[in-house]
Amino acid sequence: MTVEVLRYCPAAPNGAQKIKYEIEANNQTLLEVLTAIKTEYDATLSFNSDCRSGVCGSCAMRVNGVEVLACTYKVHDGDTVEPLRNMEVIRDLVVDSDHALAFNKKAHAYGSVSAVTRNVTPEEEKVNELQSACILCASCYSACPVYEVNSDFLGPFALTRSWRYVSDVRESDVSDKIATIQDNGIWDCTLCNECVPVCPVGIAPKQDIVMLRNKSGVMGYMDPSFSANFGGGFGNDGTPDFGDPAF
Amino acid sequence: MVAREILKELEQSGAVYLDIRHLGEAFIDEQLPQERKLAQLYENVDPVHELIPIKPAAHYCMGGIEVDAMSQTALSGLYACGECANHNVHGANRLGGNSLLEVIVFGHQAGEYAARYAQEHQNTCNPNEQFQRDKNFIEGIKYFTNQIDFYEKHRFMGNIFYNNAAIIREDKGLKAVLAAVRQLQQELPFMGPKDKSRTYNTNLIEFIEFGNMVELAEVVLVSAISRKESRGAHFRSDAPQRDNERFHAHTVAWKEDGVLCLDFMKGAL
Repeated sequence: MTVEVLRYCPAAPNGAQKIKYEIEANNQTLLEVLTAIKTEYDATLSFNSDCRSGVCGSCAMRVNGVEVLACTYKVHDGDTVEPLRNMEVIRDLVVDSDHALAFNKKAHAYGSVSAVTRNVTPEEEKVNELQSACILCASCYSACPVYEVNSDFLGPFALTRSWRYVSDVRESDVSDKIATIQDNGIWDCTLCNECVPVCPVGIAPKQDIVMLRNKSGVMGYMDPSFSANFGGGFGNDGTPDFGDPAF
Repeated sequence: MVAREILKELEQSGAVYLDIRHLGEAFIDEQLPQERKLAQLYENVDPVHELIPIKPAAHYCMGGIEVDAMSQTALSGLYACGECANHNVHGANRLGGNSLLEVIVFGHQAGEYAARYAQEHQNTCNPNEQFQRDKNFIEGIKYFTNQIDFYEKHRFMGNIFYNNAAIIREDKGLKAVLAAVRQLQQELPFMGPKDKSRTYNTNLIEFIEFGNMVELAEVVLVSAISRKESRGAHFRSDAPQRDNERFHAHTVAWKEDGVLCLDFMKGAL
């Protein structure tokens, strides 16, 4: 069968090029096929991988425009393999994920110093068990269309991780975390759902963003576009302020 | 013990299976979701209804880089924890689940001491002898001839180790593998990376890792040949009994002027 790989090397004069490989594959994963190409035909083919079992998240790439883990995707004839989007390509299928991963820090998506030490019951653990399983493969980040218009958007995985900590029973004060995700955060998401089907562990970042919006609402924040449409938002008596009528 | 019996049965009948069907779908999905996923994906088998084909494999490395009580290695400022380090907590057979405990305890400790070291020391990067050796190696790689394919030798190493230095070992087989490994060490300059790029060269990284592998393989083999007893995962068919008098100790290996040295450190226990 034939597999096409979008190859790019900064030193090469022609930019990115699609290269076709004739391979013999039968129920093989994309990672097995890429490894066979590298070790038997062309040692310069570059890609990342580590665990080979869908656990570490380092071999995320796109096949026919959809994000997959190379180690869990079974190759089909005619597949086109490309690097993740929204990140700078270093070489072939290797991307620079530093910019993406920095959003975890920007979103304060980590345990607070003020978090209390106490036992967590199995039921309490269940609350964010799925969100805790994120492997940082950046598939959702690559699928997110918001980056076309806003490169500072905190993005799906950082917001899922934010919800993972905001919903943690040990976090006694989440006001800082909620305040941090108001700008370039939860309200910038278009709820388009592109991030959901590409997650290899079944996380739905969109749902977590909706949860964070609800939590923000309870804490007195509101959608800035909503308040902009309403002119001054709500008046002191709680009724919407539609601004001065224009005649 | 289980691994040895599985291997014996594999040699006799050609297949061994794990049956977890009695656990039921609800329990498997709750407690073993990853195992179910892996079996479905890579073996096309659903363990809720079918048997899982199994085979023994190396899934953890006992021992590792020697560290002190603060997780510091022999190189001051360099800390090690987790599977790569030897914290003297496992002995010859690490029991399932305990490596996580180890990385939580010593990972925390190593991080704290490393942060403290970085604060107390201005220049934490001292170019030492090893650094110069590694630099020379990288410089010299462009003169390596590439007549021998190291990926092919990597597969060959995997095969001879699995068959002679893995689950069941004996003196003759171990020494034959050692001879092959020493041959590979000699042949390294006739291998080399085919990719000459300076940008994200994974072919070069894999070649360097292969070089490290043949260096460490010698340590593993010499240790296994010297330990003429059976203990934990180290099983010698020519010495199946435990010998506490001679070997109730950690094997410690180091290099002096490039020469491999080995000792049994009872104090390490």
